[in-house]
Amino acid sequence: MASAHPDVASPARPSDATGDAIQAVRETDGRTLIGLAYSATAARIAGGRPELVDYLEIPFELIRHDPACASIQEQVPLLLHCASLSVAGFVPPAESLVEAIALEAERMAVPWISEHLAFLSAEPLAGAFEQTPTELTYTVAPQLSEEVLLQVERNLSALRERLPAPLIVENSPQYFAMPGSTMSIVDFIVRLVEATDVGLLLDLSHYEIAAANMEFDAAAHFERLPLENVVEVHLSGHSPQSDIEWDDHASPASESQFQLLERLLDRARPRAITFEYNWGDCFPIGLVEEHLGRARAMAGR
Amino acid sequence: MSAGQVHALVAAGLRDPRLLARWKRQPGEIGRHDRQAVSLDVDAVLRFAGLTSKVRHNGVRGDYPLTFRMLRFAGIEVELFAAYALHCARAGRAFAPSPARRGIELAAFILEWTNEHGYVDSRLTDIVRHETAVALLRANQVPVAEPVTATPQGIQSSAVPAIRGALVLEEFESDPFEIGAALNRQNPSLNEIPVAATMLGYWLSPDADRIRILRLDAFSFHFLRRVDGRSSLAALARALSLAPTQRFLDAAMELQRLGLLGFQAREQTP
Repeated sequence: MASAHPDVASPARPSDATGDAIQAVRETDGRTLIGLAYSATAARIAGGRPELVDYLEIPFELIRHDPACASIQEQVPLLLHCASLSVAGFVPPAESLVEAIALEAERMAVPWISEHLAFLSAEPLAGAFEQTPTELTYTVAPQLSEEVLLQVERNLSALRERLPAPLIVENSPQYFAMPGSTMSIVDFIVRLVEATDVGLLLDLSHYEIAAANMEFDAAAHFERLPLENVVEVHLSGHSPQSDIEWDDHASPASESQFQLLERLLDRARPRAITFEYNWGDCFPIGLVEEHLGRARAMAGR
Repeated sequence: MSAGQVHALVAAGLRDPRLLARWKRQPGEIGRHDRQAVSLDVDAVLRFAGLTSKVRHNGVRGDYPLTFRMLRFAGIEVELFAAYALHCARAGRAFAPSPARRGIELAAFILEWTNEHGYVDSRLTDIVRHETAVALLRANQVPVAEPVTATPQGIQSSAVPAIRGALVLEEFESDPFEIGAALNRQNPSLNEIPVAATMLGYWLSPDADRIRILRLDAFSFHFLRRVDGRSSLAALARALSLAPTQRFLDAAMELQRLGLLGFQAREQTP
């Protein structure tokens, strides 16, 4: 079976020899944890203001590229976020990749692993000269159809057996309608949770992006989402250009996202809230700290 | 068309944006895969390719923070990166491995793209060239002249000046520092920035490890542009349609006192 990524061994890491020195995410008294997506700025804030940051969320792909960056877990607890498993795709990831993620998740002692509800690998195009799968290095929102729903269920079932922690799935931003889609992202998620009871990483920015680009009312449809299954929340910015709303981790979460967060907290208690302000290191630290504090106050009610 | 093949179609286009450009030019071609496929918004997919290209340049933001802000402010960020993704695909070129090189190549494309598209706002090109000058020096991409000792004595018109260290000279239609200050405000208003010819010298001295940005008057700018380590002060004065008067020599000495110039005693070429 063609693989989505080259075979990888678990990357060697300075803390291997002192594994018991790492900080694991500690969930106490049902309190919602507040954290940041990993960046140099986020690491500085976490180091300087530990009372504001309970964890950093780090991409598996970054650890694979630069194993040394995981050593920050000696100071700050980490959550593992993936963009590799092509959960909504028809080409499965390489066995060695799944194994590497499992090993990393075990070493980091994470309470869950998050992955995008998306695909990165695809079958070769019929009639193409090269009949090898197409491998991308980023996630793409899938066709929203019965066929893909069934495939996601199969993929989740297969991965569940291989991973040491529950896999939660993140809603992808939709920038264009995939031909053959028969349902909205809201309906797709509702159906997926009904079928699998999978935990969700609800990305509020991606949700607003999908609503804007697919032209549905974000606020009106929000309550239809299976909010009780939300394990983690992402907030970040998005910005309009060329008549499309785009993901933008270099700008802050909109006020409307905080309003959606409030509505979520009225109904459910996510275990973590992560701010993704990690495109570049020019994000104003004061604003990051303000948003962290605000989320902590909202979650602590 | 199966869902797998729909994904295959989109993935193939994202992997090679030339396909997307072809489908945009000839919509019938995408319909050959399946009639359902014609509903794909190829323009939007191409712009998504631009977004992913932009994200892959996040490492460049450190060297080009104002350029990124300007692109976003002008509302052309995604469009430009989509064009860049297509440009690189057509050239058969991957993005450079190092962020420094990646940024310099992106900057060169931005200048080319704005020129080709008749983008009249000079503030974007000003800010790109400003940040590129610094990036080039940081990346040691600017030729360094043969070492010349900064001669403390008085000079004569036969002396041959040479740049010490590495120097980039840029002339702008607006002051890049004013553009930068405006971009860094919460609600940038670039219309307040006056059109004012600004000449800057970006200098990495051999005696220091930081880049100095010097505001230059017209004489210094045009004089330094002609310094080549071979021509005498007399020859440079002629090239500038000036006489090598004491005032001319004093102005050159001022640059020498800054440490920017060194002098050799004899003229090496007429």
